[in-house]
Amino acid sequence: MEIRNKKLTEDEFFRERKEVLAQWPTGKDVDLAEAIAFHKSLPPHKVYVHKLKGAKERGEIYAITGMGKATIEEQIELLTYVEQEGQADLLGTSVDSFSRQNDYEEAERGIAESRKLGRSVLNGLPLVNHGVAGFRRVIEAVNSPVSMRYGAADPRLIDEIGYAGGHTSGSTDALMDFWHHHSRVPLETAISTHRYVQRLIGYYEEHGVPICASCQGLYGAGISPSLQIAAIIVQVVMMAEQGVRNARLHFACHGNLAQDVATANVLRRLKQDYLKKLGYDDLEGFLSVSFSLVQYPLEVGSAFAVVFMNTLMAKLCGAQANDIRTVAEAKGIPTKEDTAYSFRTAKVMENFLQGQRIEVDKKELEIETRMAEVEARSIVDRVLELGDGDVVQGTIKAVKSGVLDNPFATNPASPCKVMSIKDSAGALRYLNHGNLPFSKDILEFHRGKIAEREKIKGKKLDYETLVSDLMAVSKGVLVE
Amino acid sequence: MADTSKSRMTVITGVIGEDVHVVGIRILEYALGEAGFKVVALGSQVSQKEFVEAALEASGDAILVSSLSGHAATLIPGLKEKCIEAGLENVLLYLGGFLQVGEIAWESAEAKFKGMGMDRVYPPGTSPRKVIADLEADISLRRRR
Repeated sequence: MEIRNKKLTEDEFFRERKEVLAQWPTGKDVDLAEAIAFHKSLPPHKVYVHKLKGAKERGEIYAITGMGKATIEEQIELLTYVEQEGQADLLGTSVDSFSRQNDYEEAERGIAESRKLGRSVLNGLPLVNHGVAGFRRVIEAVNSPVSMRYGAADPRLIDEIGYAGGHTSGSTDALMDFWHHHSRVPLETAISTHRYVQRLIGYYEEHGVPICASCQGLYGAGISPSLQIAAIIVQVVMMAEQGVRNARLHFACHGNLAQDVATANVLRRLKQDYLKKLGYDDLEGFLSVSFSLVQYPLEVGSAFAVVFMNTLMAKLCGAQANDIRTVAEAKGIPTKEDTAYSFRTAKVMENFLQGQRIEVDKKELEIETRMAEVEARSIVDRVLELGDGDVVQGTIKAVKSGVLDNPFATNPASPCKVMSIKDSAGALRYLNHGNLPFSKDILEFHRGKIAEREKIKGKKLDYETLVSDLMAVSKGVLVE
Repeated sequence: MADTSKSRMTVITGVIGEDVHVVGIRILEYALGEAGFKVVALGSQVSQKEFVEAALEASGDAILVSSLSGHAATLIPGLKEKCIEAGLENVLLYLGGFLQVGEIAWESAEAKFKGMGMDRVYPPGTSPRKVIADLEADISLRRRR
């Protein structure tokens, strides 16, 4: 049956839910009524939405990152350490790679092996295997809200157990999981499984439990702002249909601060506009940013500078969440100390900036905002047109035809015709717009900016410039 | 823009094994397209069988295999044999990426993978320009046979 943007009825949801909970034995312990009562018993400082609302009111910024170990004991040790030594305000659960592939048997072996060796051999916490009761021990041990951080083509059982376990935030990003996390999953499938978790969040919301959903659409460096804004907006509409009321909208900053702030402004505006235009109540949006780079600096001084920059970006963009990587990102799996240092750095930087008003250049901001808005609107409007008003059908058609494209998708069902490059000021410009529905004026603007850099460099920009763009920050510069 | 005389040169690209990292191969595909090649991009998590089937279907001149997990030594054996079985003994096999875990001398790694039937093996940091030049030379040579 053709999938459309339509709220799952309770019947449809509970019918599907039976199959979902049967995927692994711990599924039978998920009791929605009990979970709702548990969430209502949580103090506000352990609830993601309450915490982010407070941040928004007071203009505060909280660092976030993913953290995951194989066993509950190790997870508690890690999170409480980061909370105390790193002064973290928000915590995150990374889920291991086996669980992301729904291979809970292999995750079970990983837990056994980790217990035997006395150290984690998994790259995240296997939530399904530990079950609701297992994760409740983590929630009881910490004093901050915890968010699930992972991507999977089928996140349904992980999310059922994760939310019932006490997570108050998670991701619901069908496009991201289709584009970046699996190479053979059709978009229709990813949208269908993510619709289920959106509906699950909607169910909690209907029963008075606020859950913060999130999405970012595309991942990584070299992703032009308008593409990311469009990918977020179409998914916000899908979320609203399923009853999501709170969402963290995450986007990549690329280092040209005027362009970064413009992205934030356009994202806020288009979220409101399109929800209203399509007949939905506005949902509470929180912003979250990360400094996007392919290669992180190995040298520790530069790595701390990346955390500073990330925090400055969050401040300028008016974001509540400062999504950082630890200073050990280029080295490998971070230790608890690496994670705590990184959080503490972000916290101190945020303390310094707190209450101060800083702004980027007004004229530049105005140009970047105008461009990002007209580009993102061109894409979203074309998506809606392709779907004859239905955002799900439109998105499926747009992704297939490259009207909504991704330069670095892992899934061969994506055309990957679009390519962006930095201009001389470090702002991203379309080197190739592929099949994006852009006017001549938009294309001329980008060509002009690329020509300015070509003039400075004395050569044509090509893939070699692109490679140097992707490596620049690891060498301690924004653009070479 | 693209030189159409080369458009008949067809290459199959993909990342072998379980890895989903594609930035490197995507840049290479982009460069190949700009240089006029026909590129059949298989994305990531590609099996040996899928590479061979794509080469058969598209009458490929070369298969470009990327491997970033460090497990190439277990992922590459058998690929050349599968090509021969399918009647594709003339299809060039190129390999690049992070091929092995740990610090092993590049020359010995190159020799090892050439022993498995790879025509060219590239270390990390190779420019697409070099690969394109090699492809043009190797394919022209093969076609003259």
